[in-house]
Amino acid sequence: MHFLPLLQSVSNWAPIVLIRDSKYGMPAVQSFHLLGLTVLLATVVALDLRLAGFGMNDYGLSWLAKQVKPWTWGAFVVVISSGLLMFLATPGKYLGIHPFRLKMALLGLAVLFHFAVVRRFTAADSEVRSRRVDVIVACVSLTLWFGVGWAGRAIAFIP
Amino acid sequence: MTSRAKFFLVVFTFLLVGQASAHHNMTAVFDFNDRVTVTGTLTAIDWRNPHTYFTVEAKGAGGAIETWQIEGPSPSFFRIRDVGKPDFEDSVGKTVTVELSRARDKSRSGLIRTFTLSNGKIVSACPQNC
Amino acid sequence: MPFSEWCQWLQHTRFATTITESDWLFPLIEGSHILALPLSVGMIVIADLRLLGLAFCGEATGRIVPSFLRLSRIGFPVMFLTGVLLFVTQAGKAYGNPFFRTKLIFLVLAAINAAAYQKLLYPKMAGWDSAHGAPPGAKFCAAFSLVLWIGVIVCGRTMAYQF
Repeated sequence: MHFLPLLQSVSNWAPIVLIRDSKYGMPAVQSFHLLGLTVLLATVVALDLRLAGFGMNDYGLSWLAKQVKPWTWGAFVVVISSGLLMFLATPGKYLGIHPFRLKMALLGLAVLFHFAVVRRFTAADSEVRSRRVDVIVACVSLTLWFGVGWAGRAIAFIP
Repeated sequence: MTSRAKFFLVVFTFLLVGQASAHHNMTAVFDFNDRVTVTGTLTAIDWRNPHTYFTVEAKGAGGAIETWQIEGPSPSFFRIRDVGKPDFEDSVGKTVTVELSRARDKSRSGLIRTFTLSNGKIVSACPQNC
Repeated sequence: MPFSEWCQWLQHTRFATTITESDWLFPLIEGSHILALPLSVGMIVIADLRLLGLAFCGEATGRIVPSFLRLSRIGFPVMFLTGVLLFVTQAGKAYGNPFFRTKLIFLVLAAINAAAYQKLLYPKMAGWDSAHGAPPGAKFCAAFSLVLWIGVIVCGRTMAYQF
């Protein structure tokens, strides 16, 4: 990989070194990561439950999608930036960890699925769609996003 | 506004909460460029999650016995490397060799890079600990 | 027996040791503790944001807040159970950990705050229209709740760095 030396040099950049080697640095970044995923996944769950018809049924689907959107985005930005900081601190290490690679693959799929499918499905209220399809889409969405979460946890335990 | 509100709330809470000294951040505590090899007798094992701990007594420069407190990855990490608690228990009282990243405070402690059991088997703690 | 000694005893019981030394059980419990956060704290955060007028504006507070509080009931039992199990594996160490103690204090305060809200303000929610939003008391509860829960998460993460 030719960009690995580039990543290594970024990891020596003063702000990254400060985050990595200071007493508060990594716990602080990790805390942001946790807070971000807490809100991100909460909005995903609320919307997917409504899509599947298992919860939040008092509200219109497209209205709910519109309401959670800024929070999903904001939380996603927090998660990605904190994740990026952690990655840049020791890039070589993470690239060699299998759960990390799985996590990134699932993250890509989750984002892709969100834009390609979920957004379309939640754009309008009255759709002539079978309930079964809605439930499957919601399940795939939840599996992908929580899959990202579990793969992230596995990083600490599996090489 | 919405993301900004969240950001400021989080920062405010950090300032409120994060006052005592954090102690265990890997790269804050251990220097990954300061590698030391310790050969000695394995005297104790703490086989626990999320980190395992080992005590090795080695002969120091002057001939005196030095006690090293060494931290390792989780039991599941070792399991994937086909090593379990019994393998380490078999090495208790025997000679082991540990290559470790030394603690920044230069105390006799470190983070395992590789652990050579008494039967010669070498277990690597990379990539997590390297 | 002083409580600290009881914590040490608890940490060394066979039940605790089985979890502590496990290959997959501990990671499962710890992972569940973290990934139930969106289903508990996450829903509370959204409800708080609504009370503060930052999210879900245009929908009656009296409808949105109960909806998200209902969702939070999915995660809290998981948080409690996994939290207790995690404590059992490290009771002795956690007992003396200032971050853990702070976390517990924040949790108790959050519970008191929630109870106060339920008793004093919840019954009045239907009367808060979308134009004026929630009264200052409710907004204070919401802001206090946010600070406390963020504190719980930060302490929970940082306590691992204080052993």
